[in-house]
Amino acid sequence: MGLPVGLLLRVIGIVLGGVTLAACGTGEPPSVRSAGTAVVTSDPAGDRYTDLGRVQTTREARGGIIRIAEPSIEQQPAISAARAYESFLGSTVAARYPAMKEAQAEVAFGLLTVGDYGDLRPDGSILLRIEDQPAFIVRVDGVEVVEGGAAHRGPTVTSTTLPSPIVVSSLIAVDPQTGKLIYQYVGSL
Amino acid sequence: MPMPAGATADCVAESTNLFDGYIGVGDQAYGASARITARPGGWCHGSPQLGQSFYSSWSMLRGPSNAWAQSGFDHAEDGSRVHFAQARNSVTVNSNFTLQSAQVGTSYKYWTVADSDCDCLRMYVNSTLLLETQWSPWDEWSKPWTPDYFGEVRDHGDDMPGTNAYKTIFDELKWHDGGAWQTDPALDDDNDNPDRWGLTPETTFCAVGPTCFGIWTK
Repeated sequence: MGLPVGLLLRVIGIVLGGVTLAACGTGEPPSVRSAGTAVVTSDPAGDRYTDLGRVQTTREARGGIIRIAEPSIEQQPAISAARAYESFLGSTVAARYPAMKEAQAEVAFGLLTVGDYGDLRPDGSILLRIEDQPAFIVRVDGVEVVEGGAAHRGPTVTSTTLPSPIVVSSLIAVDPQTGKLIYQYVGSL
Repeated sequence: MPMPAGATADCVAESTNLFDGYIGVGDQAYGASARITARPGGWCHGSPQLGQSFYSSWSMLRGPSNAWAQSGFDHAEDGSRVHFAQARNSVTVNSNFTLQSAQVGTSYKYWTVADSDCDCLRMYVNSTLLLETQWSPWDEWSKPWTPDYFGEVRDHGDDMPGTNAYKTIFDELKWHDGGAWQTDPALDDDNDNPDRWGLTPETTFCAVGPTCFGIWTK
């Protein structure tokens, strides 16, 4: 299925010398360069994402528990944003919440820190598993999902009442070298 | 889409999330913990009303209505078997699906505690922190808080994880009283589909007594 022109422009990236370049962290679509040997590419699957390129300004989510910082110029991804988005489509989050795959996503390359994922040390502190780790971050906002809720109190009953839907975001991190998922989160960001 | 792992029932359009296990009662808990054996379940034939099926088993600290914090084993229809943690302050849901593969047949300690150091809820598998809330349960949750231990599926036609021969065992059940972990929580059974799902106290498979139970699909 074809894309509307506006959406198509939003998923355009530029491949130059084998490295994908894109607009930087502004929330705007990547610019299209006409000079030289640049090759304009688009996502053949018509997937719903915007490539934000490299993060230029540190962003935080969940009250600072998640931080995405600017990578150094030496830190280059080996895969494309499109490949990262494919990994998102295959994630547990996308399987569990299919509406995530229908929503517009943003893909950015940055250094990810997750402050609540790590190993408990004997002194009670946490050794983080993801700290300033290069990653493609795929983010989706404003998706309505249904969560089941806790079990019932009292005697055994049969549930017939549907729980109320809630609006959530998701944040998926993809290894920029291998395309493998390294982190999955759903909820309030 | 992967085929169901053995479910023999059709999906029931009217159903919502369903449970098989024990609800904690009476105690003022600040944490819940259980060692749970990861077992496969199965999905109903057809389409459950609420979208994709899953099955899971978990321990949980229950707050007021529609508020909880839990960690456990999850199996989604994409075939992934992972540890997960989820918390809700009655409005906001925080979920984290980790990428540590959960191995069928292996038992994991899943535990949640209200931690005064961070003024938050923290959810773990073994010694790995999976999720913490950016909100305080002391601010967001009314009392009482109780420990719960359950298997959960989406639909009446789904298979609760475990079989009669290989039950999902919940062992080493504990609750935190605010000072230390305690054993033998007061519990009420809750099985939403007793015609298809089993729920029994166990002794054979328990590493540590006295409170241990199994769930499975008959």
